[in-house]
Amino acid sequence: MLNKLKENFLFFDGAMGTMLQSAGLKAGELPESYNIKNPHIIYSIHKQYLKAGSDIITTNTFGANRLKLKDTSLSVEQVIYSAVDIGKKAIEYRDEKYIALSIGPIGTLLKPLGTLSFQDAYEIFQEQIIAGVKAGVDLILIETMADLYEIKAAILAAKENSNLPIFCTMTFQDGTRTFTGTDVITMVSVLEGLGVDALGVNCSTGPKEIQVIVEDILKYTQLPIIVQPNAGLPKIIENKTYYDLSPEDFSKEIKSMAKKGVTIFGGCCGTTPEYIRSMKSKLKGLKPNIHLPTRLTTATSASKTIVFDDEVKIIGERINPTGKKNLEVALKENNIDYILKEAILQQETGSHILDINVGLPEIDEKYMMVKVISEIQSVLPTPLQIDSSKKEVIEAAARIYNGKPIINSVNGKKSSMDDIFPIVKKYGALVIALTLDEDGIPTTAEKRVEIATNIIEYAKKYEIPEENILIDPLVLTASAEQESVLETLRSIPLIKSKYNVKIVLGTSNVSFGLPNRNILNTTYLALALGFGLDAPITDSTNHALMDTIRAYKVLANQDKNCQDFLNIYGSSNNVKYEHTSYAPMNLDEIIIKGLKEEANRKTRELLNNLSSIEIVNKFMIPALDIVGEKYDSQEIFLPQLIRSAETAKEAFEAIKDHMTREGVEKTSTGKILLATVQGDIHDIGKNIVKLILENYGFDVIDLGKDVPIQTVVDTVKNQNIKLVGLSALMTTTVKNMEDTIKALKREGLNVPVVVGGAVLTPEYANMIEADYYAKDAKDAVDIAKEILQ
Amino acid sequence: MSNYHFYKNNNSNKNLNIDKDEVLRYLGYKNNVIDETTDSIIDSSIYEIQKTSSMNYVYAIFNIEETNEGILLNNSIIKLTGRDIHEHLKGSQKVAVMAVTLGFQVEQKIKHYSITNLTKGIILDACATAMVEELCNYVEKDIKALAIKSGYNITHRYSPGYGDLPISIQPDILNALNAQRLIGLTVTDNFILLPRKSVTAIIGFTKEKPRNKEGCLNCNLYENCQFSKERGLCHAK
Repeated sequence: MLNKLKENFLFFDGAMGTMLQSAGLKAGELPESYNIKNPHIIYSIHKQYLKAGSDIITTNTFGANRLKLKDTSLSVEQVIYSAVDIGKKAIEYRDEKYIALSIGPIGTLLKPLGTLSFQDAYEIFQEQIIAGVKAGVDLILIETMADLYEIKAAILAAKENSNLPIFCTMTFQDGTRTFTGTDVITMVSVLEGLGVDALGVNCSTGPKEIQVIVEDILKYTQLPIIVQPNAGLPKIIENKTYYDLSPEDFSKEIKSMAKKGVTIFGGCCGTTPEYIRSMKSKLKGLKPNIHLPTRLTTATSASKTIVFDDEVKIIGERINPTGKKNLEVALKENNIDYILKEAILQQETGSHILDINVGLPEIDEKYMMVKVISEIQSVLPTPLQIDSSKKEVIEAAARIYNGKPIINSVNGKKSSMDDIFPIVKKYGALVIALTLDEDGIPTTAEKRVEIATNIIEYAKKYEIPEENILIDPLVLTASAEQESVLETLRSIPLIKSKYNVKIVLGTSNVSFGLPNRNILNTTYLALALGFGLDAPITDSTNHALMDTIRAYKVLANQDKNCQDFLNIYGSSNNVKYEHTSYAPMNLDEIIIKGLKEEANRKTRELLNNLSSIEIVNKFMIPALDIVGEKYDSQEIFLPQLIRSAETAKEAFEAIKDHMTREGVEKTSTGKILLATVQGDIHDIGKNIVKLILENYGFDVIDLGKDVPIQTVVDTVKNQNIKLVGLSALMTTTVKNMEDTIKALKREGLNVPVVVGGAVLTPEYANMIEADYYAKDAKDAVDIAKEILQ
Repeated sequence: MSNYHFYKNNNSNKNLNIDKDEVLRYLGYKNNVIDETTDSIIDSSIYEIQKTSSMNYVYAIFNIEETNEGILLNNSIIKLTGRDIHEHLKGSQKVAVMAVTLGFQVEQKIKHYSITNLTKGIILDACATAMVEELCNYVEKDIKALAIKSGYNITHRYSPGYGDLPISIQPDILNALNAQRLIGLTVTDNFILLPRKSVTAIIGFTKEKPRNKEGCLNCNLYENCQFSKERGLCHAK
């Protein structure tokens, strides 16, 4: 079938839903139930499409997953077997007709947007695919997807449970993004990487409006493209919905797409056999116009693609505990917020990609890597770089990563390549290749080129194209191996002239062991960029390094018309480097007024003369008390209260920082666990409670939202938890709150539980056997004081 | 052709106004003095939510039939149960079922700020809540025009979770409106709509004069609703 595509177009069928509605399907009724209830109707629809000229018929299994069938008496197998059976009967003995297993969205969203885990999504698709394969379909059609993460789960399930061709379509909004924010280049980068056989767009809009999306797809993919538009735009006439294009007009648009290079067609909402017949006759005599655009080097999240092109890209290096005490502490304490702030800070200061390394001997690196990646991906669109020396950590992270990641790293040792390349291939990642091998790091440029060559050629055996490899020619320190420093840089143009690969380099090691490291680092960075470095792995919060990169971009004609440079250094906007002057104010005033930016600086200043305890007692507690009174007397309202609380937290951070640096061990009287219960995803209230508790000096472990019961139990068991705070906002999730409390009691954990949330009342709290009810954050503080102080 | 109808509109370019008083109300404002910083964060948040929202809606009109098991929406799987919706739709011959959403980008923005700047996070959240109400009002107007054209008045919007209309009806409503495909709206196992800044509602078409809102006593959040404690009313202000 795939070979046939080189010579001929392939035609799918049109809408199943539209046909079923005409046959009496009610709004919201499960279409798949017709496979069992009214198989003759499905049979007749397939027949009509075959007669109209469809090469491929699509099984009536779009929603045949265990979640959608949950409240019916039907099983996934039963629905899929019957659907395929009907399809086979309709095809009879005709040659060159195929059956596609239709797989649509699960209907509920994956974490972190929703509550379904990636693994659960995988298993749901796996069940469908195994049934389809067993029933004898010819290909798998994963269609009408809006969520890139979900489509990844489906593709992995298809790849790992069948050898069939995989076709994928996503549905886009008018703005050329899917509902969850994926654009075309990102879709193409990820789906090509995962190894699908054809990709494209369905549903979305009519064939005219879909052309912009199709043109974008044509720009990026070398794979066969599928297009299955709706029959125009919906129009309401006499209170009924019609699609506004006739089969003839529809087919004209199809023909124009065929001329541009699309090879696989079909129809979505509103299309009928007439549309298929019409497009088929319109394309008679036309031959596929195979096009092969240049391949790009891309890394993506679910909604953003970074193309390694002629402009310098910055890979942020700060999430790496080596030599970073605060990050080390945060990792050990499971303090995800700290890591998220680091990530956001780097993104805001200009990092295009973030390197993620969480390797510490004391922690479960695999667990932490997966956790950190999911959390960062839930708040930032920045693509990530998975940095670990452990194969199993890399594999676990690449699997759950939403998008096309960079893997850091492989090297020229055969064992390393045999470990890492299969992961790179399977998950369609970019990979950083270090120019070292069994003999260590070479001293000459030529030897680096040789190792790079070996790696690139060996990767081809794994079918990894060279544009998916980033070469890191490895910096040596000037203090130890001065004569080799420039050899690294000399290798850059040599490698680039030989292969279509991009170069990355962590530059700051060059100055190790020498004074005035900044000047060495910036000079070396400037040199490296001049030699052709594409993406430094560096610290975007370092002004000197960023100045160097911005200057280079002006001089190398990358920053056109010096636009960015002028924006940043031009007169009026130059706030970054000037300290705004504030009226001299005491810390208590700063907190009452909520001047967040000032608190940290002022606290550090105070720490020169006062102890932490003195600062807390003299300024912070009195200020917080005043703020609390003002709030109670309605002088200020919630946002002002929160801002003061955040300001106080900034002061606390400065104190904590100071203590870490001084090596003072925190003495904890016990911790408070906070969680929004399983199934609930409302966490603003819980976040407020956390902030206020921290203000009063309590040590809070925040497990986040949608927290499994077992996680709460385990945390109480393993940490010194003195109070558990649970939050739920829905009547439906209060049940999980009750179950969490029961589980704690069942395990014999005598920790008091305080509950809160919109639907709770003191009576309700009592009923579910909570020990306390807190109506707001202040209540929670009072309860915490009672128990912990 | 069956007799139910979808209307979908992606009006992401349409700029609905967010009522600042509403935002303040969601933030618990009671004539306090608002300092300049807070005021400017509110203004910029209103703007950001307007810019970030990807508004979509869908609705359909159904004839209804009263049965012992509840109110059936003809040619659909929706069955409305409970005393309160029965009361609400007394005298209605048809209903419009609607679903609206602001999309996921708003969600991500709120989450982002909840980490770096909780003050702004809660303000954005309040703005988004006000925005989704505005969108509901906008769609309601649309439905009202349609109702008047065919000689009906409309009742107020009534959402799952009001009174004793269970939120477990959300999946049926979304399926009947084909809401996942048309506007990207989904629901979790616990019947939470995702994206979170989304609403589903039911509006009756009646030949009778429109009645006043039933008020808060019917609401199942009545007991601990901040608005009812302080002002006696929420949306029925």
